[in-house]
Amino acid sequence: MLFITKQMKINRLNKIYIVLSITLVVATIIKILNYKGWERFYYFTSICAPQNYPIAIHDAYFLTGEGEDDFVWINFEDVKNFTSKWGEEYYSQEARDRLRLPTKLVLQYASYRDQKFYRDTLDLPQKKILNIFKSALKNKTAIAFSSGEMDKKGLNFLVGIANDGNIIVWLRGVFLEKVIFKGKIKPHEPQGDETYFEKRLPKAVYLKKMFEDLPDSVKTKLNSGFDAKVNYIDSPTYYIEKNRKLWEYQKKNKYID
Amino acid sequence: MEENSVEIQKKRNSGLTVVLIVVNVFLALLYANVTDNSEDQTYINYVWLAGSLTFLLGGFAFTYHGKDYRWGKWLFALLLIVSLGFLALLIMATGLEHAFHN
Repeated sequence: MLFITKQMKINRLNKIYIVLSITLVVATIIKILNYKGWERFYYFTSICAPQNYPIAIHDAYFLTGEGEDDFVWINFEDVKNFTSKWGEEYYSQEARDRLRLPTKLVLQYASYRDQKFYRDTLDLPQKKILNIFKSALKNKTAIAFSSGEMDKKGLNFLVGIANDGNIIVWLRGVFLEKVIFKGKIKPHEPQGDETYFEKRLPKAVYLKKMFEDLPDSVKTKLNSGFDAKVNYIDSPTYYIEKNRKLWEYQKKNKYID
Repeated sequence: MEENSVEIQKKRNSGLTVVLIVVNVFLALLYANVTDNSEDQTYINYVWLAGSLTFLLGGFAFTYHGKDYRWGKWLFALLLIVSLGFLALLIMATGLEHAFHN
């Protein structure tokens, strides 16, 4: 803008446009700072439960920020259909946008075998999660979520809900499985909307409704005490062992890095 | 002499306006693109581009009058038509989307 000399009187339109420029710069900076792109990653989340300990999930999500609106729903399709197996994530994983990492895990569910209700908000180790993501991307142990032409690299969160209110959270990639959280929720008497299904139901009615689709043969088996007293929270998942051959094949053929 | 200086001022100011229009359009696009792009970002960018350019050229067209600045008016008219076309498309697209959802 060499032609702005001392003699020049800037007219009103240009003054307005200069103010507009400054506003846009400020707005852009605010947008960048709010978005925090450097704290965002691609990831998919799902829940698993032991096959012999079916649960009915009422609410399951990760909180990702300070605000009440910052949350990520966790996929619990398998658990809902009573097809979930311990240590197995949902088969179809997708990651659309880069998201802030979870800070807390909110769970609310009822268990078939003990007929009890569980609800809690659990703190997750944020630093640990961030470091695992960073090192996974650096060490090429991240998963490539295929989406169009873009290669979206990230990790899988898998929440395991074992018997007796035991909760575990894994972070998984390629040749990578890390336990980032282990905790226990105490059962409690359901209150308010915890037994809500179309309307607020009495505890027993709600439980009956929730496990309506659980096959009778399974119910009979479970009621007879099958696989009772197994401590699922401590049982290994063999995730890496199960996938080793696949990954080696994929690496060899350059399907993955 | 007096008239001449007014004319010079106008020339300089209009030159500055052109520069500021380019800068503002660039900044508007920057604002729209600093966060991660979703799939329809290209579409959104066209809307931003057409919208901001039309708006800014409108200021130019209504500020500088005279033979030398007529191109601004023509360009503004042209862009207005293009933008309105875009707007119509946008309304149609959302309308269709709405219809599909139902």
